[in-house]
Amino acid sequence: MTLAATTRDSRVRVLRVAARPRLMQRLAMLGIVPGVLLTVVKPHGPAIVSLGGARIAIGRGALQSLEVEAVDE
Amino acid sequence: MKRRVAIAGCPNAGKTSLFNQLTGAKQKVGNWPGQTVEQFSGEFEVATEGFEIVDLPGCYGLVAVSAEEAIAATYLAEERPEVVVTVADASNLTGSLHLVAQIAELGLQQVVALNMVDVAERRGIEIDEQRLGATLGVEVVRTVARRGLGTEDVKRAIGRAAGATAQQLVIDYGPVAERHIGGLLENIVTRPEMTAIGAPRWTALQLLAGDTGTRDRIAALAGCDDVLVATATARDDISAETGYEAEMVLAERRFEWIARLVASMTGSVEPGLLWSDRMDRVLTNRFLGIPAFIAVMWLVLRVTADVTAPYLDWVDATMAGPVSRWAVDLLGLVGADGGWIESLVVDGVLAGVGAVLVFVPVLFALYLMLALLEDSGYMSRAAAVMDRAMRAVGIPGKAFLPMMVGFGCTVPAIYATRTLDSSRDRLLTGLLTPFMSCGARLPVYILLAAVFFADAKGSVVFSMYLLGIGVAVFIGFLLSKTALREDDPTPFVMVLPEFRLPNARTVWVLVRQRTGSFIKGAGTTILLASMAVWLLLALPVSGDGGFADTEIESSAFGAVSKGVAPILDPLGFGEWEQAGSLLSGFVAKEVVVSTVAQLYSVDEAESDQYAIGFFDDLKDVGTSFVEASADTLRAIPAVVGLDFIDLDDSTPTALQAAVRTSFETGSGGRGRLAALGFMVFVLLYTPCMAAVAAFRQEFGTRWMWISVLGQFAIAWLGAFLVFQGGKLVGLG
Repeated sequence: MTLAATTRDSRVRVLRVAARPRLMQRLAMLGIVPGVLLTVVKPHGPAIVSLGGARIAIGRGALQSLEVEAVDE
Repeated sequence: MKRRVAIAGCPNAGKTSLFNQLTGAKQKVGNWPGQTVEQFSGEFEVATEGFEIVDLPGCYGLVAVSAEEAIAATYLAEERPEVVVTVADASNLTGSLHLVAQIAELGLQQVVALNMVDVAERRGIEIDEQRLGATLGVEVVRTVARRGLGTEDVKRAIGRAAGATAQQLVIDYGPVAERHIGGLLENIVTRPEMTAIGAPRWTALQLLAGDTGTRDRIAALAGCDDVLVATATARDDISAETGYEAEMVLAERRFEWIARLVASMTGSVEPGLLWSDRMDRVLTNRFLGIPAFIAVMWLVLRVTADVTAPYLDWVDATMAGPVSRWAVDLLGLVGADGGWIESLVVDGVLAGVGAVLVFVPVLFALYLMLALLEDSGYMSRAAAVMDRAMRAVGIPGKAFLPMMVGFGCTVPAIYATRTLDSSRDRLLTGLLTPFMSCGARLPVYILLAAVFFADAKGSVVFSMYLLGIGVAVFIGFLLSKTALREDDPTPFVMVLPEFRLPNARTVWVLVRQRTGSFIKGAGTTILLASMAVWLLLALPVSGDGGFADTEIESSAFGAVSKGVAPILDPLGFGEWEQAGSLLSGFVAKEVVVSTVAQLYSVDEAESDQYAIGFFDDLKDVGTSFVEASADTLRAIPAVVGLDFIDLDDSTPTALQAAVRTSFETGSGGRGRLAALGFMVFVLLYTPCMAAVAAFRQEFGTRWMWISVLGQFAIAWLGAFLVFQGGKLVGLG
């Protein structure tokens, strides 16, 4: 599923990142790589995720590039 | 020779604060080699030894995705500064350590400033900096740069690091990637020209990560093409063997390494929801985000336009009155008053200096507002909110800010494009901002609307603003489909800094640097242009007037106006006086109306000039400054008011009559149409010399000409459509 299908405050794991080179490199540089755990601050319009203390805004165009799964803790 | 230090760090990690703390006021601005991006550098001393420090653009890593990373990576790899101070945000250690690790992999001597330790501690994050330093092979210093804590420790650490040998960090990227790194290394280490561009292992890693900067540097070397071919094969093999793209494989292993390091020191702390997150849920909300953004921009615009207006008038009046009189008196002392020298000093130099200075209060206020928005963290939110709507027409979300600024003044709007990411986005936005109708164009609309559209003044003036927006959106759409097409449009992904109270020092330094940069850059050009116009007005080409003592019609200016006039004839305003006023509008739109008055020999109401003595003048200047300040204070409450366009109806009626006659004769009885066309022309052609100078400074001479000629063509076409189209359907 994409981030848009998640809910506020949920924890998700990144399964796959598939994007064109520049976006791929941008995401990689910010640590959004397969296996990483994110906390969803808000799921859309734009989405905001928390990753190790950083808040990352992800626009609509980039949501399709991120495949995530919900994690129960 | 001074020893060279560079300061690096992620955006918002506090890099600029630390840079300012280290260098104090001793900073200078230059450009990066081959770039229009500004380079700030400064100096400081450690135990009597001098160091020069360069402020690298903020970046998260050294793979060139935007212009910022490309500059930082190229500088570090090629210039190899003796020490790199890397600013890490202690409250976001994982994100910050990526850059630290990459610089350590490059094999540069590094001092890590562990900044914002106060914020981290408040969130319960304890960091063992000794252990962090030992693992990375660097010295780690705790700082709170905004409050100046730890600056001296950083200086001492730089002193110790300079001259010591750097330890190159080696991260294990796993069997598959390591095999291919090894393969590339064999290819690289045997060639001196390739080892010269950076540590071999680092070069191999950059190539595998698909870094375009490294690829381009190697492509420029003779006989190294086979390395690039080998790189492409290795990248394909890695993704075939692991199922992930090479850059992801490398980043994943690097972040795993970082995560283990962070966990070993802090334990895995995932901070809970912050108040900043709650603000984000409101300010970037799907429905509330855009109204909130518009409200903020409205405030910026009003403060810039209204609050500074009294100061603007004050500068204007001071230059035209007392300062000009003092200059004449001074010239009198050396016996050079009266003649053409006086005319050159007063009408050429002082008028030019005045034209530069009147922008300063506006720019200062604008830069202040922008710096407050930037330092508080709101700017990134605005970009996030606007991105979707603007992308639809090919313009990035961040472009909205410069375009809003353009309603006040085009010059700061062009400088404001610096906040955009890619050079393509900056250029596109720079080309569009001049279509936003600036404050100086308003008097022209008001004069013509009062003469020809007395019944619908407000609507006519307002429609000019809308037309400007429409043209900008249309041209932006066209350009993004043609010359400035995005081959690889990068969807919006951005780290949001936490909301915080702006720091006075950071804001002040930003405002000072930007205002100073305008005065130096654009100032020279405006001054030269003003003197050129003076020369044209002073040179007699016909009649019997002497130098600096000729009728306007017989001057070179008159001759040029008459030469230009036929081009404007199809637009319905081909009289030489109309051409002349448009010519002067090229220097500054403020003078169009006064030139019209001058050319039709209609005296505007002369201001009273009683003060004659120097001290009376000085008192006047002081009093009027106090009055201006009082007016400013009074204007602040009005900022939230809604009186957007204040239609001032005090234009002399003699001028109105002269204008009416001229437009009626010039257009063959279709004065209304010609006047409307004239307004459209004023809206769309080059805003002023200052804007052209700013544009050239930002985007270079070639694009300046494209912009100037393009605007002229669009303006001509717009006015042609209004006049000839209107004639065709029988209006006017």
